[in-house]
Amino acid sequence: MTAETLLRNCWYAAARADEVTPDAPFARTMLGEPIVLFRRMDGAIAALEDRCPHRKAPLSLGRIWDGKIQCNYHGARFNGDKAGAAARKIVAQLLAQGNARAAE
Amino acid sequence: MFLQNYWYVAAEAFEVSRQPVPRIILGEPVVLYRTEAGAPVALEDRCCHQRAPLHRGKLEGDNIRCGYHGLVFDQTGVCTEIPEQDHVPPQARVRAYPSAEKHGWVWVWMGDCALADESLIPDFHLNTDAEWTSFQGIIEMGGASQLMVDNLLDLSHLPFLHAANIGSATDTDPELNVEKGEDFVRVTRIARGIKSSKWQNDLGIQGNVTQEKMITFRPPCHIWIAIATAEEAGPKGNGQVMNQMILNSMTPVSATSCRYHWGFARDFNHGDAGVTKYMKDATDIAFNEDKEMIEAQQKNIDLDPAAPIFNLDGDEGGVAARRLMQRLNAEQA
Repeated sequence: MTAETLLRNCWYAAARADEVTPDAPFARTMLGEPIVLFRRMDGAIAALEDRCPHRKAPLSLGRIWDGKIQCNYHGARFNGDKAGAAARKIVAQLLAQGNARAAE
Repeated sequence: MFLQNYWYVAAEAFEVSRQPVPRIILGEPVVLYRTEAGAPVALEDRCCHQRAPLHRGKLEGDNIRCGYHGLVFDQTGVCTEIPEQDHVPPQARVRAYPSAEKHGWVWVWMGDCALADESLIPDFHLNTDAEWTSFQGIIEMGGASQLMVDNLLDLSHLPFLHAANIGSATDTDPELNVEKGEDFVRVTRIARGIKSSKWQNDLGIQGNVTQEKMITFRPPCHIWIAIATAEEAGPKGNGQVMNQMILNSMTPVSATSCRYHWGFARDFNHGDAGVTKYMKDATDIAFNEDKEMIEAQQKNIDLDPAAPIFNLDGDEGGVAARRLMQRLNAEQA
């Protein structure tokens, strides 16, 4: 089964809730796509493409700052929310625990 | 896919000895050793009989005997002995690559032997120049040579990736100039009045510095970075300039990996072993940060090669180098 044949319009468990923190990015590959998870300032979960749109560096090697993630290669910074994200939003969402909020 | 008619760095001089060593260069297996007189030899590391790697064999004088069935090859690649038969067919041979030792590195010519001219070996003489103090290193990188070319032509990554050592937090607004030649790309990057880096602080430089970097790329995979640093004030200030030259050659192993040979030459604290050790250790740390990033980039590229990238202002040099390589590849095809 290739990544193209995996079901996309459904929820996948990406992490335990306590694995996703405001302090350090958490990387996962799901359905063949690199994903970085972290918590925004308000505690909501951000799930972004773990691939800087500049040169494909994984954002998960970067730092979380004020709820934003900064690429550690050339310093591009991305919001963890829909409005500000320069990185394309990924399909995968979180269902870590019953009360965990998804990235959208 | 790879440019063939060029000299590539195969090894640091000390790595090539009377003990054969294997390399993969442009996807081809190569065995390196020295003749009794000390000249480097580079042969196809694949016996013409059953493809056994010759580096698992033994030297006999200037020849190498395959460790599997004992075929002997001379330094021109010609088979001179097959132990179980008297007849040695003329096609029993392995490829011999022109090789040379220069500037502390062993070079191999991967293309048409008739075109191998040692005067074409790029000028990395600061590796061995007595007027400068230098040290060298090697990093096996699980990323394409091109990713290292991008890395070195765009030093805007220093304040982030190398924040803890060679990067300056305020080096984010340089004057950039890109020169695009027929056979080179040169990026000049001038940063005025930036905060000195941790690395500079440890070497006794405090306060702000002005730094000019001239980065020159030459195909297929060579980069020179000349760095002039002047302290604005302080014990080493008053216009004194410290010069460094970073010598870089990223020999492709495959399309997605390379062997990075580097040298670091300076004209200050000449011969000071303590400063050399400090700088060598710091450089190893910084270059391993590059290795980690480039290998992570390569993994993302492998995951989805078609995922787009976009270019920032600082990428003009790297993009020009890619275009130059594309042009040369098209000319070779």
